[in-house]
Amino acid sequence: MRITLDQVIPIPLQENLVSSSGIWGRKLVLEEGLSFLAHAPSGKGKSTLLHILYGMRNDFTGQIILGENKYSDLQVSNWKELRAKKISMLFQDLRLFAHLTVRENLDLLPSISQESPSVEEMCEQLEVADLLDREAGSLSLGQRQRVALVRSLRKPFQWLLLDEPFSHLDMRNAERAADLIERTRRNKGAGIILTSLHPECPLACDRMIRL
Amino acid sequence: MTRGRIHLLDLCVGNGNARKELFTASLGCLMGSILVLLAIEAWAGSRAFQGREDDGDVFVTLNKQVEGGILINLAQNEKSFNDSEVSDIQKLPGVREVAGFTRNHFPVTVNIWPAGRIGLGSAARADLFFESIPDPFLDQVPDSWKWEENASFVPIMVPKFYLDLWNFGLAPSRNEYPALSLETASSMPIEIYIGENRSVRMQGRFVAFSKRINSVLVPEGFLKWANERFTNPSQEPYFFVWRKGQIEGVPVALSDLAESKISHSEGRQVSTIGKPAERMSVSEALAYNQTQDDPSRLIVKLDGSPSEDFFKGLEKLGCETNREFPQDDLIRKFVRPLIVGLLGFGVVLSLLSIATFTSGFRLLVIQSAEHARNLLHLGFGESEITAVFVRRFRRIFVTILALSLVSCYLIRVMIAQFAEGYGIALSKGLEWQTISGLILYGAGIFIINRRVIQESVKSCS
Repeated sequence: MRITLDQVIPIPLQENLVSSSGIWGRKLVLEEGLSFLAHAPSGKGKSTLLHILYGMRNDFTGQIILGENKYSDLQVSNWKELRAKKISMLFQDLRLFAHLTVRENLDLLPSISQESPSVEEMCEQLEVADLLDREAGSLSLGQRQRVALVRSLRKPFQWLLLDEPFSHLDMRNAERAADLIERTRRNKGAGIILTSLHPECPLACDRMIRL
Repeated sequence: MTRGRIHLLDLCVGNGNARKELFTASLGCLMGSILVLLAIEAWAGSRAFQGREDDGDVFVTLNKQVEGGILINLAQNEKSFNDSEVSDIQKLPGVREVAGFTRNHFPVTVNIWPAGRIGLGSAARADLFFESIPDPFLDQVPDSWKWEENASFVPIMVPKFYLDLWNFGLAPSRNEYPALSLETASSMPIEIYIGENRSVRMQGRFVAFSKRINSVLVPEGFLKWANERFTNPSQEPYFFVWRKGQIEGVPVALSDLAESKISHSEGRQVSTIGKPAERMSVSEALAYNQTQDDPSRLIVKLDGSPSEDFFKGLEKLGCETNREFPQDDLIRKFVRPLIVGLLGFGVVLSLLSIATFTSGFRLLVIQSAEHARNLLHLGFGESEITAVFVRRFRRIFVTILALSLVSCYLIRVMIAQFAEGYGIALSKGLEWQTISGLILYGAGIFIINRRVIQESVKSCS
C-alpha cells in the first residue's frame, strides 16, 4: 500500500516551520516495503505525522492517498480495517492497559499476524519474558516501551508507524529492539515510518527525512 | 471473536469502574421495575377480580319487581316485559344484547334417581319448571345440548349451586340421597312427567351445570315444541267483567268467555286483571292473543360491569337484577383510582430510574473512554467495544428483571394470603399481562440503553 502525501500541512503548525520541512507542504510518496526515518526536534510535528497517517486526526490541508483510497473518503469502518490488518503503530505514550498483565496486553489485539515471531521469542529478545504475568502498570517506562513494541509487531501490518521507539531504551536494548523490528518487517515485506529526535537511529532506514 | 478475546475486552473496559454509581442506579431501576410490574399486576388482577368473562362481557338477569296481592298477581302479564320495555332496556348504557326467558306453560314433575338407575333406591321427586334462552347467552353449550323433534330424551342444564344445595343441604339431611360429584350428577337418570295428569313421560339428564344462569334450562327447540302441545288451560288469562262502569262478580277465565257463559249483550265489557283501565268487548277478548308470551325474565349482556346509570335506568323501568355488584363498586370507588395512581407513580419512577440507569452506563463508558479509545486505535470496532458494555448492562438488567419478577410474585402471594383472611379468593400466580408487560418493559429499556451505549462509544473515537 503506497502512501502519498500531497501538500499536506497540519492546521496547527506554524507557517515558518513548513518552508524548511521535507514533508509538510510538499509531495512525498512513501513506497511500501521501504523504511523512512522522520527526524526533527520537538514541536515540528513528528507525532502529528504518524497520528494523521493512523487516522487519529484530520486537521490538515492537502491530500493523502492510502493505496487506492483518498484519505478524505475513509470511513470509521475503513480505519478499523486498516488498523486491524494494514497499519500498526507504536505510540509515544505507549497506551498499554495498566491494569492488565503483559501477556493480556499482548493478546488483546483484533488480529494477530502469523508471520510475526511468537510472543515468547520477541519477549526473550527484548528481555521482558519474565514480566509476562506482571501488570503492565508495575513496569518501568523502558520495560513498557519494549512490551508496547512487541504488541505493535504482533499485529498484521503493511506499514509500521513507530513514534520515537527507542526514547526510553538504553543502547543495548535499543539495538536488540531495532534488530527485532527489522527482522519482522523483512518477514512481512512491510514499510516503516519511524520518528526520532535525532538523525542517528539504531534502526538503519532506507530514507531519512527532516521534518 | 474468540471467547478469550471477549474475556480480555471485558477485563479491559467492562469491569471495575463506576461501581457505586451503577449500584445506586441499579437499585433505582429495581424499585421502578417492581412498581411497574405491581401496577400492571394490580390492573390485570382487578379485571379478573371483577369476574369479567373472557371477552370482557357481563351477564345479568332481570325481572320486574313483584308487588301486590295474590289477586293482582293472577294477571301474569303484569310482570312480563313487552316489546317496548325490552327496547327501553336495550337502550340502557352498557347493554349489548337482550334476550327473554321462555317459560313452560304446562306442569312438569321430575323423578331424579341418584342411585344411577330408574327404580334403584329412592327418587327425588319435585314439581319443576323449565325455561330456555338463546344458546349464545349460555356459559357452556355441551355437545349433548341438542333436542330433535319428538325425541324422548331432554337435556337439562341447572345452576351449579343447585348441586351445592343438594350436596350440602339435602343429601346430609336425608340418608337415602348420596352427595354427588359433577360426573355422578350428570349420569343420574331423570324421569320427566308432563301434563296435568303426568300424561307424557320423557327421559332427561343434567348435561351441564351453569354458573351464569339461575334457572332450569332446556333447549329452546324442545320448549317451543312442548308449549305448543302441552299448554295448560289453567294458564289462560282471567278477565274482569264490567257492567255500567263496575266490576261484576269474580274474574272469568278466557275459556269461560269462549263458552258464552257470559252474555255478549247488555253492554258488558271486559278487561284483563292487570290492566283494568283497558277495557274491550267480549269478542275482542276472545280474540285476545293467547300466544302473546312476553318473557317475565330477561338476560342482558353488558360490555362490562354495570354502571350507576344502568341501575338507575332499571329502577325507572321497575326492574331488578339477580346479582349485586358490591365488589365492583369497591373497585370503582377505591381500588381503581389506587391502581391508576400506582401505575402513574410507577411509570414516573420507572422513567426516572431508566434515566438514572442510562446515565450510569453513560458514566461507565465515559470513565472507560481512554481504554475504549485505545482499543479503537488498536483496530477493534465500535460494535465490539459497545458489546462489552451491553453485555455488562444485560447481566445487571436481567438480574434486575428477575429480582423484580420474584418480588412482584412474593408481594402477590402476600396480598392473596391477606385477602384470604377477608374471605376474598385471589389466585397466587402472576397475571399473563404482567409477564407480557415485563417483556415489553425489558425490551424497551434494553433498546434505549443499547442506543445510549452505542452513542457514548462512538463519541470516544
